[in-house]
Amino acid sequence: MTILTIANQKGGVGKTTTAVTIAHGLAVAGRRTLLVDLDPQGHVAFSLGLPKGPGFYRLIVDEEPIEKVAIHARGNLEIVPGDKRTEKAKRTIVISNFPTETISRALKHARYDVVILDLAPSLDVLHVSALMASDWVLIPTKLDAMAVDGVNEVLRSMAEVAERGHRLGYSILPTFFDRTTRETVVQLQSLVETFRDHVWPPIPQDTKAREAPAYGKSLWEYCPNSPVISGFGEERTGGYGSTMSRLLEVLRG
Amino acid sequence: MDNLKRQQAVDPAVADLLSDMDRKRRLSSLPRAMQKKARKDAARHKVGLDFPPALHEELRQVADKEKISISSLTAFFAKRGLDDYKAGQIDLVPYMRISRSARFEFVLTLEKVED
Repeated sequence: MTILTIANQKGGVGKTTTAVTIAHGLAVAGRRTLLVDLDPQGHVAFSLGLPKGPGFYRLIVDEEPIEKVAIHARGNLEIVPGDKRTEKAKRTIVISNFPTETISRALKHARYDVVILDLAPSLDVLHVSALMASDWVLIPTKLDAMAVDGVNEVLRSMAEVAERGHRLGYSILPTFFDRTTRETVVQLQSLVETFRDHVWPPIPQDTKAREAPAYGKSLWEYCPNSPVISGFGEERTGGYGSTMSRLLEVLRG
Repeated sequence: MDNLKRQQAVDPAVADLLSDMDRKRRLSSLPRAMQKKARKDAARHKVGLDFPPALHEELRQVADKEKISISSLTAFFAKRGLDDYKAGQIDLVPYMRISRSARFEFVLTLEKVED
C-alpha cells in the first residue's frame, strides 16, 4: 500500500481538486483507492456528490475501523469524509501520547493499493502526522509568490519529518497555469531552477475544473476532453492526464 | 573531463514548455519585421529526434552528393519507409528489444536483434 499526501499550507491552490482527480484516476486505472479528507471543510465528499460526514473524526477519536468509516464513492474508490468535527479530532491528536503516529496507526490495517490524504491549508499536528504516514507528497501550487512560499513550508515540514528518520519523495504540481501571464512564467522558471525534475507539467487554468464540483462530478466524468485533463496547446502539455502517467511511474517504483 | 555531459534533470514536458515560453518572450521583444521572419521560421515545423551520429553522417554524405538538403532527404526516406510499413512490407519485430524505460515497451534497433 502506498500513501500519498496532497499538501500546501496555502489555500486555494487546487489541493482537493488534485486529490479527487488523481484518486478517481487511480481507481479507474484499477487501483483500489482510499481518499481521506483531513480538511474540516469536507469538500472531498462534496466534490464527488456525497454528503459531508464525521468519517475522519470517527476514525481518530472513536477509533472505529477503516472499513466502517469509509464510504463507497465510485468503482475502486472509497472515501473517508470530513466535516467540522475534523477540527475536534485534531485536538484529540494534540493531547494523545504519540501525536505524530496517529494517522499511521489509523491506517495500519487499511487494505488498499493507494491511500491519498487531502490536507487542510495549515501547518499543524495533522500535517506532521500525515507526512509521517506518507511515502510521497504531491504539492500543488499556484504560480504566485505566496503559493510558492507554501511549497517551501511543506518542504521544511518534510525536512523535520526526515530528522525523525522518515524520508519521503515529493513532486510539485503547478496549477491554474496561465501561460499568458508574465508572473506565471517567472514563477515557473524559478520553481524549475530550484526544484528541477521535482516539478511536474502544469495543470492549465480551466473553468470546467471550477464547475465540476457543483455537479458532484470528478473531472474524468465531467470534462474528460478539456485542457485540465488532456493538457493545452498543440503539444497537449500538462493536465491531469500527464500527472497520472507520472504518478503511476512513482507507484511502480 | 571535457566529455562530461550534464544529465537531463528537468521533466521533458516542463523543459519544452519553458523553452516555448522563452521563445515567445524573445519573439515579442524583436522589431516587427524580425518577428515576421521568426514566425515564418517557427512555422517550418522543426522537430528534434534522437539520431545515431553514424546515420546522420551517411545521410549528410548522400545529401551533399545529390545537392539537396539533409532535411528533405530524411523526410523523403522517412515517407518511403512509412509507406512500406503501412503496406506490410516492413516487419519491425526482428528489430525490437525490451525497453528499460517505463514509457515504452520496446526500443527499435537499426540492426536485427540476435535470438
